[in-house]
Formats: sequence, structure tokens, C-alpha cells
Amino acid sequence: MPINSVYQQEDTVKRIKQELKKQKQMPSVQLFEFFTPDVYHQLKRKLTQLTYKRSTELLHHRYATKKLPAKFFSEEIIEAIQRLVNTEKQIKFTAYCFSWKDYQVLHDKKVEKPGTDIIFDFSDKWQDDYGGHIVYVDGRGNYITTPVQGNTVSIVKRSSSIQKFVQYVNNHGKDKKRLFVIATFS
Amino acid sequence: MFPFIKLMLRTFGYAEGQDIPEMHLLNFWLAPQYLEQITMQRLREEFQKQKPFPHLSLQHFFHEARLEELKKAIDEEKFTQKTSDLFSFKQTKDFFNCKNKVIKAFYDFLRSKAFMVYMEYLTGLKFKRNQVDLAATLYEDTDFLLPHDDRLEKRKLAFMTYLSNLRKRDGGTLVLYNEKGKAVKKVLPLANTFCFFAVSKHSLHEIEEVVGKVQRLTVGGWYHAH
Repeated sequence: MPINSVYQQEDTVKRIKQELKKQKQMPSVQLFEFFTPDVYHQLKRKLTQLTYKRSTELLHHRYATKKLPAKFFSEEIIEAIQRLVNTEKQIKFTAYCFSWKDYQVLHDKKVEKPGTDIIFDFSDKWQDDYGGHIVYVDGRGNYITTPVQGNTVSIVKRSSSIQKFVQYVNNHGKDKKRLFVIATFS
Repeated sequence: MFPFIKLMLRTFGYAEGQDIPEMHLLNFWLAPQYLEQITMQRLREEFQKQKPFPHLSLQHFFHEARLEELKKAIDEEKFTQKTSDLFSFKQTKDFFNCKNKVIKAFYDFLRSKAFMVYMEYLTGLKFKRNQVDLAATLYEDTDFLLPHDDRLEKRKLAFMTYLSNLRKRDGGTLVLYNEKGKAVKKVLPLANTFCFFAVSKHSLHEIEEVVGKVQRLTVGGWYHAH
């Protein structure tokens, strides 16, 4: 089993869906220890061995990224995710690697369409004061920050008013890598 | 006649050969070399030629004693943490309502017709009279301002006076980018340097993160279009 058995149980899946439905402003859930430890370490090893491409658009972002091949996650994992967010759509995975001086800011010309973000966090031993948090804002002063913790999955439902940015990674985290994967549906 | 003097006479409605009392205000604040005809003409030409967009960085711009007084006064002001996706720093309120006499005098000088005419001469731009945004900003370890162009609310000229000295390894440099996003110039903060640039779609710049136990203190703001 690649996924923590808790998240395979019908009852848990039902509760996650209910929680996402119940929250009105910025629906989100965090699933800690999502993968079994062996699978998590195996996936992380694969992620750290990838060659990332640096991407800079000064007014929007500075980071390294890599589109993951379809078979990066097993069928079992993909089916579990589809079950959690109630979709049969194809899922595409993009890995992001943030290091010192990297960021992603809000930009009028980079507005994201409403949808669901699934973020797989692979950042271990990351301290809060390094920056690099993924922050969702609704433009009315409300915000949520997803936890930076390895083996955590965050599911965030975005309406048209909700956008996200990634905090600047500062010199306190200059020797560290902030790794996460974002799943999108098509 | 020196075109700047001609401009001052015309602005204040004096006849040729008459004394221009407003020059005393400029003399009071600015270092003498920056009121010399040759220097002003050279700076006026340089401003337009600068890459990647019109700007100048003028060292020892104010009388040292005035600036030391100003720094002492600003050190007593309250700074509030400002954080967003784009920046992290500490800033005072706009000095429009500041009660401190030294800061108020500096504010009044920057929005005086005499100094605005001086800046219009150097930059070739026209500013809305009697209006200036002015606040002090403090960057400490991990503070930053990511790339942006400053275009907002009819801003025409951005300016800042550095009140502290930083070394290259401390960060905090002002980085100017060209249209391709390449860093073309870096301005290291040196106390009593007055730096300004024309705000446009080309004025892409950032303040690099400050690293370590140093303080980057500036007082700056914007002049506006009519």
C-alpha cells in the first residue's frame, strides 16, 4: 500500500469531502503522513534526482520546475487522489524546487482559473523563518498558509477570487531546497 | 544666462538680475557642487543617457550636518512591519503629518517649488506642485523588495536618500533591470546618496535582500504627474 491506510478508508474519504464542502471561504484540508514512510522516501529520492529547469519571469516568479512523467506516481496513488477530489479527469503533476532568492508573486496577468490544488510537500526540516510558504489570499484580507512539512498533502479549492503566491525564500534557508509537487486536472 | 537660473526667474516671476531668495533654500540643503552650472548641465545630460532607464545616483548630495540631524530624527520615529508577496520591511507613516521639526523641514524642502524646479531641470520631467509622498524605510536581515516597476497613482519620479552604509556582502543594493530582465546596474547604499529614477513601464527594479545584522535605512518617495 503506497498510501497511509487511514486515507484509504471510505469513512476518512467521506469526512475529507465533507470538510471541503463545509468550509465556505477558502476550503482546504491537510493530510499528514499521506504516503507510507517507504513510499515517501522513495518518491523524495526520485524527486531530488530530477533535473529541474530554472524559470524566471521577474514580475511573477523565480524558481526551478519539472513536469513529471505520467508514471511518476503509481496507478494506485492516482486513483486514491481522484477519489479524494471526486474526479476522473487526467492529473498532471509538476514538481517545484525553491531555493534562496526564489519566489512567486501575485500578478494581474497570471490569474488562475477556479479549480482545486493538490500540493504534495516533500520539504523536510524546513523552518518557518526561511519563507517559502504557499499562501492563498482572497483579496479581502483573508488568507491561509499551507504547512511546509514533508509527507503532507494539502487540498485547496480555489474560487475565482482566490489566488496563491509562494513567499520569498530568504538567506536563513540558503542551503536548503523547498520541494513540492502540484497536481492539476485536465 | 544659465538656463536653470532663467527657469527659476520665470517660475518665481523675478526680473533678470534680481536676487532669487528661493536659491537660499537650495543652498541650505544641498552640497555646493550640486548647484554649480557645469555639474547641473552634466547631470541633466547624464540622467537621460543612463541605462537601463533614466536615473542618477548622487553621492554627498545634502550638507552632511543636515542629513545627520535628519537621521537622528528618523531614528526616533515609529516603524511598522510591512509584509506582502512582494516585500518585507519596516516603514514609518507618510511624513505629511509628521510633528518632528527636522523631518517636517526636510519634507517641506522636498515639496518646495524651488527643489521641484531643480529636479525638473535635472530630469526634464514636470511634477504636480506641492505634492510629494515621503516615508522612511528600514530593511534588516531577510527584508527585501522583489522586482516591480513602481507604476501607481501617477507616480513620475521615484527617489530615495540613503541614511546608512552597506557593504556588497550585506545585500540591500538597488538593482535596475533592462527590458529583457537582465540586471544592468546595482546601486550600493551609501549614506547621503540621493538616488532617483523616472517611473515608467521600463523602470523595473528590486531591492536585494539584506543579509546579516545590518540596517538599510532610507527616506524616500515619489513626485507625481499633474
